[in-house]
Amino acid sequence: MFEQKFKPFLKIFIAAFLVFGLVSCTFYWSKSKYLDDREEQGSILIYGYINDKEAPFTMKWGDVKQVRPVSDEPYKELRSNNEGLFYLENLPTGLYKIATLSGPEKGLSESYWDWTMPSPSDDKAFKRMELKANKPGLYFVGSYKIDKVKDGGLFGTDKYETIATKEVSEKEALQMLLVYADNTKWKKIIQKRIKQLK
Amino acid sequence: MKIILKIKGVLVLFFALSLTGCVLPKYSVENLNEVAADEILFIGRVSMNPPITKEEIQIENVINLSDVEMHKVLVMKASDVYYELGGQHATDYQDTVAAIDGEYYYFTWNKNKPLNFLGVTFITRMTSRNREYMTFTIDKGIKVNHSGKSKAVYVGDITFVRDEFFNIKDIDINQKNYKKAVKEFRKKYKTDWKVEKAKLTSSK
Repeated sequence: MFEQKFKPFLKIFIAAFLVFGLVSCTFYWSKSKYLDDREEQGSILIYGYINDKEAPFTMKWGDVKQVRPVSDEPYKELRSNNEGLFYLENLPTGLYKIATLSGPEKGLSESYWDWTMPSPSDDKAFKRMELKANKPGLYFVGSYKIDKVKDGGLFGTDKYETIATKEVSEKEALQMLLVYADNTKWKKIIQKRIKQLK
Repeated sequence: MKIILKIKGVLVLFFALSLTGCVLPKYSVENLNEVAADEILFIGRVSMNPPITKEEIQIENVINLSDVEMHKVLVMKASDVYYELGGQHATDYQDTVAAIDGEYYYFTWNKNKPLNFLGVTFITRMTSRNREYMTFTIDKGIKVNHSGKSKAVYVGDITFVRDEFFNIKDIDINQKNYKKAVKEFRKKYKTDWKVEKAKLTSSK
């Protein structure tokens, strides 16, 4: 009785499972590009840019660590426009640090990369990766590039490093971000800041 | 009780191993019989100021059977020669010492080999997807000088003063607690071994 009742569903389930198994290798779930339209009072928006053209992966997501106030879930997933811009809105004021930028490996590989951002102890330029947000508003963490410093050849390993650049200014980053801010409180705030930057 | 102590040691070792991959770190000896004829027992403490709290790091999907909490484990990089650690994690190297924040370590080292401390590595994130560490490099290193005649040598207290982002603000090295350390050592191992106070200098 049980077998007869569920047999048709079993086939569908197996088929769905197989299809999922085939596509899951190339399927990466990440946050929407669009900012949340919830009205969070007194919150901040963090944003930055990374040029991943020479990187072994395409940046599609990342993590920002909420250092203070202490949280049960200190790592928050960043949004990405899939063109180098990373951002996250509606965070409480406090201390933050961009922890990792991640994405699928370029080419036919099925793996993904978690790129740990350097600490200021490695390079003072990365001080911007750490941020003290005392007031609500926008916080730009800067523009960076993942640079290929050594080609490992056919059998060796390529070497990369993160460098601070001026490739994308705060204004340019905001202009990219504005596209995803419709119907949110952030739209006006971004527009105002763009005007200030001229 | 002895079995429990041994299990505890194994668990601490197991955890330290997970930090260092396949490389075996040094850890505190269970009893003084473990100190070989050509070895010296080094005594000291390494700590963070303020201490790293559970809330500051992320540990998920890890079963810790030890009573040593993971945020308290500090893996010290030791070496017979000085070199620039350059922020590289102690997980990549041999000659590491698994210490517990603020507690005395008692590890052995060949008496004919110089001993330099280069830095300390600790875990900041361990989840099914991410494994991240932070390394505090001791600028110019610490060389532990001794006569080579003693079986036990007191190193001292190395304290890393840090900020909320895990940046080093200062490193305090002192031997003010020599008497207390000797007392604790003798009580722990029920011994009357003499303990030489090391002369600490810069490695570079």
